[in-house]
Amino acid sequence: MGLLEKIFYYFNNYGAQLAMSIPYFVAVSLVGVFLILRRASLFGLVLSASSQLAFIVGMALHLISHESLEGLVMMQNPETLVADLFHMDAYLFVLLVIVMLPPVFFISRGIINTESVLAILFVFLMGAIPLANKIAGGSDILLLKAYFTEILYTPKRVFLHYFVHLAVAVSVLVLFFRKFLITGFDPIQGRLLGLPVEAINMVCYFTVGFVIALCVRVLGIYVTMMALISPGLVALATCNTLKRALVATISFSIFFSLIGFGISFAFDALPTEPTIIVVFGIALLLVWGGKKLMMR
Amino acid sequence: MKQIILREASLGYGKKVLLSNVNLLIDEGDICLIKGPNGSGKTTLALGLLGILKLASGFRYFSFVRPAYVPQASRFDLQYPITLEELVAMGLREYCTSHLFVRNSWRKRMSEKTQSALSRVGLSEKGRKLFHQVSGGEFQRALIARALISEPDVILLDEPFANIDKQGKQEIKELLLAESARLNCTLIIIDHHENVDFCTKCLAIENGTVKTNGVA
Repeated sequence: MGLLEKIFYYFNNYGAQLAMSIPYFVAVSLVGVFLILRRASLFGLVLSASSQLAFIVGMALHLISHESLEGLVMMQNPETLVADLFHMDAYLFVLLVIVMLPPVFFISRGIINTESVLAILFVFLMGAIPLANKIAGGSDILLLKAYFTEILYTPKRVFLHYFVHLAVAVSVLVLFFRKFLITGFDPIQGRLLGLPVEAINMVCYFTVGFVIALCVRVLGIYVTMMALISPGLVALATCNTLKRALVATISFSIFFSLIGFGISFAFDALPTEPTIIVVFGIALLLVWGGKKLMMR
Repeated sequence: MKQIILREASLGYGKKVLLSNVNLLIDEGDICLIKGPNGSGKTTLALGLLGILKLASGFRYFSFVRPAYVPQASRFDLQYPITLEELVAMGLREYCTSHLFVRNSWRKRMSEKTQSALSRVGLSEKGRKLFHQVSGGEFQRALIARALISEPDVILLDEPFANIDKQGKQEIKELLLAESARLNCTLIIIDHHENVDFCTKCLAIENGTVKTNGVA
């Protein structure tokens, strides 16, 4: 099978999953711009890890109550998947609030804003994920799935299930865009204009956390982390207005993810998610390198 | 008459009190200088005057209705891709509370207001420039334009002459005097140098309290 034939073959067979994953890439990259501007990228990674930990604990609770965990994770029973996800969301919502709200609260009040504290918290959460998995009785396959979801093998229902959640979160970003901007850029001016700065910060970080949590579920933790930071950084390095940067972030996010999918299709031994991560990383390095050269 | 009064006020962050037993009165039409060495609590006092920082104890009376604040230019994060037009528009509440997709008529109205404010400070040609691409003096004038756009009755300026050459200082001084006369607005200027020779009232901060209160 030739290179193009392979690509067309995979696009024909997995086109729907690929297309439905794009809004998740776009959404997580958009919230990434706000985090980068607020110099809170590391906080985004902490949120990714905490949402994944909540997911692991949620799966354990699901196992206790439903005894259908392996079926859910291996996606062998798509007919009951949405119902299972609905039940899991009930746990996850509570767990996400428990795990994510304290760091959201602390960072929005400026209590923990040092890189070292966030770095330690991130490593702690990443370490807690396999531990929680083991204690909850999860297998190694399950753990691997926790880090790398298989985007192309994810049933369409999973993507569709979270579209509404994603649309709500993106609507909040659109509605609160300038409030988020001013409370990050000049909080004193925001207070002077009578804006409830702390409350807006809470909404901002919780929306960001919500989008990250959804994307971790669908794209996997590492892909989410890369899509969160890379397109935004590339866009901010190449654009000189915020609106252009937002449009560029969307474009880069779609473009890099499609390139990643394309390369993994062309060389079908390559796993899709790590390929996407590497493409995002190389794109970032190329843009930074190019910018440095141009500045000389 | 509009006034700002602090009586036996203490100000600080959390449990740390920076200023205590502060008594002061600023009347409508005053040009007031708050001076003191670095770290003495000038900005803390300014934020306390505006009500952005709550008093740890004491009494505050503030009867101005449209306050504006010009922060230190060095306080801004340079990675934000914000143009001078957008910066100036941030002085308007209706801009900051708007969402991403707005009507063209609204956008046009905002543009007219920001252009008008920018032209008042002599920056009408530089509205599309990013705030970190202009000189220190131009950025300071843009911050003053942001304060002026809401037609304030009191403007508090935090070190408006920092890192600006002699000519730039003179231009800013003339601009402030002209605009305060036009808008009939009170000026409160924070500075730790002797740059402000045109004030009518002077407050000096030393050792955690306001030491003097009189004409500079």
